[in-house]
Amino acid sequence: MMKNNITTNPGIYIHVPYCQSKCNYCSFYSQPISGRAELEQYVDKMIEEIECWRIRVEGVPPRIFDTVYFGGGTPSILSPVSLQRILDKIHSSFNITEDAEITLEVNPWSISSKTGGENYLALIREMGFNRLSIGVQSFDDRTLSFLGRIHSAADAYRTIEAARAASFDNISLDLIYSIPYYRDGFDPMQAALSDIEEAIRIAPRHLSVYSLQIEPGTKMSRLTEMGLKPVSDELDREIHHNITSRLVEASFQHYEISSYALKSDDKDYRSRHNYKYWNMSEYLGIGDGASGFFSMERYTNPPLAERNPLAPEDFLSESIFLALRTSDGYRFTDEFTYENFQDIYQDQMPHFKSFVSSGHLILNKQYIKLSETGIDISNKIMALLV
Amino acid sequence: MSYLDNIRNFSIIAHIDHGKSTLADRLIEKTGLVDTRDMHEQFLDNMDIERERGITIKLQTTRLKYRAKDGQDYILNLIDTPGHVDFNYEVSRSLAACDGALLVVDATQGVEAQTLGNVYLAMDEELEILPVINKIDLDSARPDEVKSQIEEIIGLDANDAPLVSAKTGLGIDEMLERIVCDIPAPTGDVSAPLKALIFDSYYDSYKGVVIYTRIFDGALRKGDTIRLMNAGADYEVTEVGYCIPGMLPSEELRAGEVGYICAGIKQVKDARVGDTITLSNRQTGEPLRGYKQAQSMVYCGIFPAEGEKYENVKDALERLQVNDAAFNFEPENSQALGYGYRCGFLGLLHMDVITERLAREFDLDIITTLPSVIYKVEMNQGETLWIENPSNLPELQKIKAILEPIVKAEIMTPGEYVGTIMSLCQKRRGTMLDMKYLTETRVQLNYEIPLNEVIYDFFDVLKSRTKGYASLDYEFVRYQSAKLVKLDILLNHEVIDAFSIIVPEVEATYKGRAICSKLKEIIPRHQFEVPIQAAVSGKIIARETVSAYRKDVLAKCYGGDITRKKKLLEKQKAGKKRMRQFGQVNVPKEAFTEVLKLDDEK
Repeated sequence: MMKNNITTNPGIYIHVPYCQSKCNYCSFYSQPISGRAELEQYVDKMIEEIECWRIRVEGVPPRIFDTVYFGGGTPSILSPVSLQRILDKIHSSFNITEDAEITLEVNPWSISSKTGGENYLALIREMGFNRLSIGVQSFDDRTLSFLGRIHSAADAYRTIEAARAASFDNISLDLIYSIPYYRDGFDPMQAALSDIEEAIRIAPRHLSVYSLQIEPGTKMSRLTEMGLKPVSDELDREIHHNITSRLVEASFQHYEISSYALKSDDKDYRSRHNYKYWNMSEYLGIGDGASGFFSMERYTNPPLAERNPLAPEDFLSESIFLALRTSDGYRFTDEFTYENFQDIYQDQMPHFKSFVSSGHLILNKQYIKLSETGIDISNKIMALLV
Repeated sequence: MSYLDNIRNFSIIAHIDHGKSTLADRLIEKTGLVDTRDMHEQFLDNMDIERERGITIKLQTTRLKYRAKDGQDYILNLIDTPGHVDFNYEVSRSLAACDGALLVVDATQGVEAQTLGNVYLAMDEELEILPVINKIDLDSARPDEVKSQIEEIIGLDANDAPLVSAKTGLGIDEMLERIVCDIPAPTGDVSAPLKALIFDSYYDSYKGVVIYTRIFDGALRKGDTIRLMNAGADYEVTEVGYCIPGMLPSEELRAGEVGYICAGIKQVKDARVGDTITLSNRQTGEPLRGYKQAQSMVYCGIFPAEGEKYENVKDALERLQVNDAAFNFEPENSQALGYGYRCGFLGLLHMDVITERLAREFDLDIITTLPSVIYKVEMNQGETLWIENPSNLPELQKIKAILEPIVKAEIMTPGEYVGTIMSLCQKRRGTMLDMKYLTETRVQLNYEIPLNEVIYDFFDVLKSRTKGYASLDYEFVRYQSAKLVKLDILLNHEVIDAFSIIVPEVEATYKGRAICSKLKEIIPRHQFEVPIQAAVSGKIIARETVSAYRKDVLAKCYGGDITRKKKLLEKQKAGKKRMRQFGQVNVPKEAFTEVLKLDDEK
C-alpha cells in the first residue's frame, strides 16, 4: 500500500526573484543580479523575515511544517552557504518534521561545468534538500535558444546526472509545450512528444508539464505581434491530451492539471508542497513578491503587496476550485455534503449539470471533479464557483 | 403710455453651437439678474445630459430688467428654445409666445440648415427678426460675408446687425439697445377675455404641473378657473407669477406678459404645449392657432435586463412621462425579452436622452431594442394596421401593401461634399427634390428619404463624410408604399424577436449577412457551436457560426498566488452579468443596438 505523501500541514515557500537573464516567455517577478553582495543582502533580509514569522507562528495553534520549497527566479544561484543559512534559520525558528520535503528549483545552467557547480548538488543534499525541480523546458537546443533559456540540453543531462550522483531520488523535471512556430518546419506536436519521450527515457519521479502562456509584456508576446504564429487552442489541447496519454502509458499519474507523478508501490511522488496550494493548507511566503496563505488570509509580499482575508464563502469556493485542479477533485464530507453544495450553488446547478452531460465534469454524492476533457475548459467550470 | 410699451418678449434662435446659450448667459449677466460669480455656464441648460452634450433640450424662460439708454426700465422676457431637429413643434410654440427673435449666426460658420428652419418658423409667427452676428472675436470671423448671406438667403436686412462676442462680452450693450428699439412691444387688450398660450410645461413635485404662458389678452389671477381649450378641461389656478427663472409669485399676469401658472394639473400631457388658456366663465372666441397633437416618429422597445424589476422600469417611465409630454409608452411583450414597453419618441435624440436618463437618473438596468418607425400596413382583407414593432408584422401573404414614412430632408453643405452626400442619400433610397447653390460655397440639397433610413446613423455618417460641415433638418411628409420584408434573426435555431427588423426586400440579404456577421463578433463562444441565421418568411438567407470554446485553463498557479487566479475567474463571472440569456445562448445586452451599427463604408 503506497504511503500517502499529501498532508494538510503548513509549508514554507522561499522566493528568490533573481535571474541571470530573463527568459522570453517569463512574466514572473524577477530582477537581474547585480552582484554577490546584493544576493547576500537579500538573504539577510529573508533571515529577518523568517524571524518575524517565527514570532507570529509561535503559540496556538501549533504549526508543524512539512515542506520547504525554494522557488524563483533562480534559487540555484544562491551559494550553498546562503542556502545553509536560510535552512538553519528555518530549522531554528519553526517546527519542521523529520521527513519534511525540502525542494530546490534548479536551473541547469547553475550546475553546468561553466560555473563549476557539480559539487553544488552534493553539498545541498547534505544540508537536507531531498527534492529537486529541474527547469529543463525542452531537450531541443534550438527551442531552448528560442525560449531565451541560458542552458543547453547537455547542461540539463549533466544536471540530472549530478543530481543522481548526489543521491537525489526525488527528481522532477519541468517541460514546456505548445511552442510557437519559430522556425520553418517546426512541428509543435512532434516537438512536445519528442521531449516527452526523452523525459520518459530519463525516468524522473515527477514531471511538471506546462502549456506555454504568451503573456503581455514579454518578448514572446512582442514576437507574436510581429508575426510569430502561436499554436491554436485546438492543437494545444490535442498536444496536452497526447502528452497525458503517453505519460499515463509510461506509468505516470496525471494528478493535477500540469503535474505527473511516477506510480510506485511504495512511494508517493506527488509534490507534497505544491499540493498545499490545492488543498487549502497554509504556507508561509518569504521573500520579495512571495505569496502565502496564513491565518485565513492570502497575502503577497511587496513589491506586489496585497492582503486578502478570506470570508467563509471565499474559503469554500476556493477549496472547491483549487481541488478541481487535482484528479481527486473535491470530496464531500459530513461537514459539507453534496446536498449542501447543491443548496449553496443552486443558481449554478443547471450549468454544472450541463457540464456533466457534456462529459467535462463528474458530480455525485462523493465528489466533484474534472474529467480529462474538463481540464481543457476548467476555468469555465471554476468560474461558476466564485 | 401703457405698461405694454416697456415689455419685450423675444427668443434667440440659432443653429446648434452658434452660441445661443452663451449669449443668453451674457444677457442675464448684463442685466444684473445673476451674479457673474454665480454664473453657471449656460445657465438655461439645466439637465446634466444637456450639459454633457452641450445642447438645450428643455425650455426655460428668464425675465430680465434692463435700464435702457433712454432712462426707462424695460422687462425683457427671454424665452429659450430647444436646439434640435426633433423638437420643432416646441420651438414653434415658444416662438409663438414672442414678438421678436434674435437670429444668432456664427461669424465663422454662416447660415446653416437649422438656422433656416428656425427662421422660417419665426417668420411663420410673424416675428420681428433681429440678426445678430456672434463669435466675432475669432480670427476666422467673416461678418461682412455673413451679413450678405443673411440678406441673400433669408432676405433679411443685416446691414446694421449687431456684431457681438458672447464669449468676451463685446457688443452686448449695443445689442440690448437694439432689442429695445427693434423688437416691438406686445399688443393686447387686458380687459378682453383671457387668451393665453401654453408654450411649455413641466412637473414640479411640490406644485404639480407648472405652465409657462404668454398672455395675449385679458388677465389671470390666483383663484380663477381656467379652461384648456384643446384639452377641454378646467382647472383652478393656485398660483401665478414670473420666472426669473426661479418662480416669483405675483398678484396677476396681464396681457403682454410672460410668466407661469400652477393649477393643480397632474401630468404635463394634460397641459399640452400649444394649447390655449382662457377663463371658464368668460371664454375667448377662438383658440390660438398652431396647436398640434404630439406625434412620435421613432419607436423602440425598453425591457428590464435580467435582474432588473419590471416595476422599476414602469415606475421610471411613468415619472419621465410626467415631465415629457412628447414621450409615450405602451406595454409590450417580447418572446425574447419578456415584458417591457414600446416607447415613442420625437426622434433619435429624444430616444437617446430618455434611455440615458433611465439608466442614469433612475439607475435602471435596461435593454433597448433597435429603434424603428411606424409602418402602415394595408391588409388584403381591407383593414389598416399601424405596426410599431417589427415582430408584429403580419405574414406577407396577408398583406396588400406596406407603407413607410417618408421625410423631406434638407441638407446644407459646402460644395465639395455634394457628391458624397448624393451617394449617401441614394444609398439610403433617397430621391432628390432639388439642389440650390445658395452662395458659391453653400449648397442646399433637398431629398425625400424614408425615415427608417434616417433614424439610425444617417446624421453621424453625414457628419463624418463632410468633416462636420453638413447640417440636416427633416420633417415628415407622407406614407409611401415600398417593397419591404421582415428580417428575422435566429440564434441556435430560435427566432429572437427582439432582433427583427423591417427592411427593403432588395437589402434583405445584404443586411442579413451584415447582422449575422456582427453578431458573430459580439456573441461569445459557448460550450457548443452557436448558429446565427437571418431569415425572411422562414427562409434562411444568411448564416454564421460561433465555434465552441476549446480552451480555457490556467496551466500554472504562479507559486501559490491564488488571488490572481481568483480574480481571473471573477472577471469571467462579471462578464456574464452583461449578458442576457436566450435559451442556451448568452447575448451581450449591447447586441441589440450594436447590431445595427453596420460598418457601411463611412
